[in-house]
Amino acid sequence: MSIRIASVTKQYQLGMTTVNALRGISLKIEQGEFVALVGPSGSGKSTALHILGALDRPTSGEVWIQETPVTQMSDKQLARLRREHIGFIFQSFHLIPVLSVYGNVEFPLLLMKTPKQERRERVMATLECVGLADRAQHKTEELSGGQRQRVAIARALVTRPSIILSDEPTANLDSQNGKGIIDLMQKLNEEQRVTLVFATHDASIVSRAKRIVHILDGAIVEEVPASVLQG
Amino acid sequence: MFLNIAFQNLWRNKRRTLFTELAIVFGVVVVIFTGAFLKGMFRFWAQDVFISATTGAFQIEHQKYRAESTLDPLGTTLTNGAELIASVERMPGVQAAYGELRIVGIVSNGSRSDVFDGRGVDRDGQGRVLPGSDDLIRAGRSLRDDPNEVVLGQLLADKLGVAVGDQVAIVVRTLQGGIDLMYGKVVGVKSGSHFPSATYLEMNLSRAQKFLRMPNRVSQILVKTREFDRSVEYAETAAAKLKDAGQPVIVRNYTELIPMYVTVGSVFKLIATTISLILFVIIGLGIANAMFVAIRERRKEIGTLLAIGMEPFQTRRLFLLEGVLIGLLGAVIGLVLAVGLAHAISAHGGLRFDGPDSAIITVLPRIDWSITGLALGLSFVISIVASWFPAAASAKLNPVEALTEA
Ligand SMILES: Nc1ncnc2c1ncn2[C@@H]1O[C@H](COP(=O)(O)OP(=O)(O)OP(=O)(O)O)[C@@H](O)[C@H]1O
Ligand SMILES: [Mg+2]
Repeated sequence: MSIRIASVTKQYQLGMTTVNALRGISLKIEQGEFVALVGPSGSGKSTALHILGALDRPTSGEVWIQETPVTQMSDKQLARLRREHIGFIFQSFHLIPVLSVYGNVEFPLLLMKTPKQERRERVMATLECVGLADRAQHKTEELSGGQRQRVAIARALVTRPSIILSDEPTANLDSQNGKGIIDLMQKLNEEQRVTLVFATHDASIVSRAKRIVHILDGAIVEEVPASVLQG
Repeated sequence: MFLNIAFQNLWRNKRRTLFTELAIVFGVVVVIFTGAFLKGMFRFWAQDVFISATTGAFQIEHQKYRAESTLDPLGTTLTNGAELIASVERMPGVQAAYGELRIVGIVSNGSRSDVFDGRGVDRDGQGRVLPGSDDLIRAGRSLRDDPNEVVLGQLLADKLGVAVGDQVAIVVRTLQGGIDLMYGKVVGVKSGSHFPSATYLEMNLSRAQKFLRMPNRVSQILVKTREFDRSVEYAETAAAKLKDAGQPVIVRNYTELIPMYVTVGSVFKLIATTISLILFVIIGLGIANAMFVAIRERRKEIGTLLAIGMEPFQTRRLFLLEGVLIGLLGAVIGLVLAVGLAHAISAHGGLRFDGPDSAIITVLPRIDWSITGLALGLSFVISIVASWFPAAASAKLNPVEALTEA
């Protein structure tokens, strides 16, 4: 699945002042890509990521997901789009505290009304994939940060989205755990051709991405294709 | 599918849930118990003041009696008193029945005289059907077998200036239109609230029948039922049977016999309803507040749910469900507590109060199911209404804002 944004701006009104978080960015991401959005703090990475994932609406500009324009869609339609095609992974995991590991991963499938038997199989297969099958019945607060992020990944993966958007997924983890997370995601990208888009400061993610998009002050300043990096 | 989450969230915030629950439980208990108390009081009033003292649970009289009571009270009496009473006593639910004969005339102490509107009563029957009638005695005693004994209403006795032990002359018009006179010995004086003591005069039924030349006639048959709560039903059965037997009678149950029964009942109900409405508005505000706090605390969680594709109406449903669960749980606990409390108090003899005339009022709280239903219904409705606005607010949340705030 491809995502395309064109001349997207995003403004925030803070009292009398207007913050231009994005100043007209255009970007096309194809199925199976591994993209890192990099830039200094406040440059607009997270904002761009939210718009790419149909979680937020641009102030102006167009967004197409799978060549379907999404800017005119209702909140309900956007929710459905996210549910079926997009996975989010956040810096601070955002697991649902009252649910077990299993419950957290199962939740998106419940929203999709997946039958029980299939739900079980997919949740367990996904937990297997992130190496947490033995923790299925644990509470999330009993897990380490790295394990929690794996649960978040499993939750994003379980619906088999075609794209996973991830906002600094390793920022709250030590380098060991961070590396494990990146390994896992890279594997998904290579084996399952899941599109990956990261907003990150993490050099180890940047070094593995196949495409690096530099954002500065709300605008794309430089694109480094994978070939250049590898060469 | 949200049920589990809703439950878990309530459980997670034990303290807040507990206090919200306490408020609801308290409200439900107060409302149900107040309803029960008022009903108990109402029943005490009905039973003690009327049913066991003067009216019985239901009465049977000639169908024209009411209409003719001033013009022809003697003509509209039941002619086959003893047989009718015996047959009524065999009817379902009837514990005892006895006859009274209305007797109207002039009573005099020789220097002063006054009209009276009294009764000839069958003493044995009166003791069985109206166990509280003796409580009305203020001086002297009740009638015994002596046919010349009379009991007067206190105000009538005062007007005539007679006391226990004095003799009075009684003049009546007989059924056939003649005049008759008898001398009675005052053996007791009666009064009570809602008791017509300014005109009351009581003598033995057999004497009254002879006096009025009306053998075996009674104006009313008073009935005590086995189960008070089924009295209306028993009265209907009796009415049907009497009608089948071709008796020209009408049956009135206590709700028709007690003056203002319906009015007093609805006043009590109004009080209970008002209390419940006020309480539930307060409870509703409490639930709404708790839900708003819960939603503020869980903005990130809501943002997450929206991010992973939950639709806004589903988050609203989730919070509504939480509110309704709180409401239902509180209602059920409150119901159990209130019913338990009412039964426990009734089982231990009820609540006692000092009433007027050094009487003791004993209130046995009775669950009033209409007030209870109102309380349960209200706690359900209120919890939906109170959660509605917080839940709607949760659905309007912008996921990005919710997720990114500190
Ligand atoms: N809700 C908001 N209200 C006002 N301004 C906002 C809001 N969200 C973001 N901004 C502003 O938009 C700009 C871009 O923010 P964004 O979070 O996208 O940056 P970022 O590149 O992700 O930074 P970081 O690396 O610190 O996460 C910043 O100047 C920020 O202050
Ligand atoms: Mg950011």
